[in-house]
Amino acid sequence: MCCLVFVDEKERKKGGTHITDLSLSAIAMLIFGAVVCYGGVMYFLYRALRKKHK
Amino acid sequence: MGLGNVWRFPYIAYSNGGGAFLIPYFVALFTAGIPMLILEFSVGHWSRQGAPESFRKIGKKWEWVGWWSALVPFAIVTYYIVIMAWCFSYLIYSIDLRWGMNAESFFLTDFLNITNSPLHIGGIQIPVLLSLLVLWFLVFIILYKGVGRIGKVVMITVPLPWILLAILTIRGVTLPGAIEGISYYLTPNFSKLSDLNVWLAAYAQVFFSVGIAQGIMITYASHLKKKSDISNNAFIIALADSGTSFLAGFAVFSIIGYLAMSQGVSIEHLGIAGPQLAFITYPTAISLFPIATTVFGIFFYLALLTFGIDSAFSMIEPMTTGIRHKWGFTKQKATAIICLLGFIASLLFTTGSGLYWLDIVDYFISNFGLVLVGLVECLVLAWGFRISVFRENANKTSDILIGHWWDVLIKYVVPSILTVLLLAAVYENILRPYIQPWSVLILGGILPCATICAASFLLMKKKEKKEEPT
Repeated sequence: MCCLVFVDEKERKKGGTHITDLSLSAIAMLIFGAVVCYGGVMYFLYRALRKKHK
Repeated sequence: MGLGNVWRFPYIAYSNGGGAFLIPYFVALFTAGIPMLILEFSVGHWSRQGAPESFRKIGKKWEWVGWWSALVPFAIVTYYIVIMAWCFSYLIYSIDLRWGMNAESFFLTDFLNITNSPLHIGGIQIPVLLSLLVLWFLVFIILYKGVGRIGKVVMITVPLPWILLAILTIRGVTLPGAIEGISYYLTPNFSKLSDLNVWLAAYAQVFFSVGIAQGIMITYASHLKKKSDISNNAFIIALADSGTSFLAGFAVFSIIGYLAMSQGVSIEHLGIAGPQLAFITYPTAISLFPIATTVFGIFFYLALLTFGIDSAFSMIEPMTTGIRHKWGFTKQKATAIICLLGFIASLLFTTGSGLYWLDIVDYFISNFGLVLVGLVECLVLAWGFRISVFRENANKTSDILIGHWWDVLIKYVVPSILTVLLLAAVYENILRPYIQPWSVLILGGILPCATICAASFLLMKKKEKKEEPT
């Protein structure tokens, strides 16, 4: 998700916001949610594919 | 995946501690969601039957539990499809942004013609009725041929809303002010974790969104191939569902942040609860988009519709499978009966007071109905039968072998958690009722739950037809 949370440079120069404007606790929750959900899906998909090709 | 991810998760998360809600949510997912998903998959895979027949196979006296778990999603679909009907209407309205600059007035007055109280029913709203007719007919057409046709439809309706959601998220997070909304969504309020209602909301959300305790997974698992990997499928499905909810939060809150910035108001002043989010806040934001307003309006409502349609199939399927097997009806006849009954029940939500009833019924069915079915399911399968049968059945085909810890979870942990949460919620409702007056609470909350319970016993008592379904 981190890579999606961006505002382009023009916007940033105009005073737009950036991922780093999130509080540390919010960033921690973002990483926590992303790792559990997407990391979990990738891991179990990998196991399923490995089993299929055995 | 369904409206539960896009419609329900963001506001439930927001109103229950923002980022901190992810903690009870994942606890609920791992302590009840995934273990129960494995259980339901294993039950369906083992019995090769729908929910009522599966429980009947476990013990004749438990058939009512199967009917109960099939009736709850049927009750949910009666209002769920009305939300889809609103989406369908709004999909058409997106072409000319019919709501103009006052989406609230358009939605409540022009579109719903809302009454001033749930007890003042009001007339049926024709645009909602027409959309409802179209959707019930569409659901019937897709379902009456059976699971095979659903398989073909979901080839489109599963990836399409995900692609649309990804587009909406990318657009949302690149809008000015988006980070404020995301910060609102993610910043944890840990003080909320001491509130038992937050934990109940987390368990209810997991049950609602993953589709547990609704007979759905038992029915679908009955069609699985003998060699299908039960545990791995359960992990992938539950985590993919959570991932969709998590992503939807970004799509929703980034737009809310943008809207708050555009209007110069704080996010607290913008409504994000259920209907307000999709039909007031989001349309307002769409109208303010610098470019391609119509396209994004269409994308958003098309995403909601396609998310919703899959859930609608799955919520109807347990009942049609149940009555088909019990009375030997053809698939067409069973689907026609269920769709017709569903359509009649949906009519209440198309009236001027429909929005009130939808909110009340959703609260009680999700928080009490689903959680209670989950509790009873666990008790019956773990204590009224041998839970090890289902563990061994799952392990026979699974890559990840389940240990005895799973028996402990289903036998002790899940029932204990659900009992505490239910008692706390009942106590809370006695002290501070969800809705006043009491007559509305009884009609919209207690009566539907009691009717479902009574109907499940009646359906069990009804004599079955001997011939095999065709």
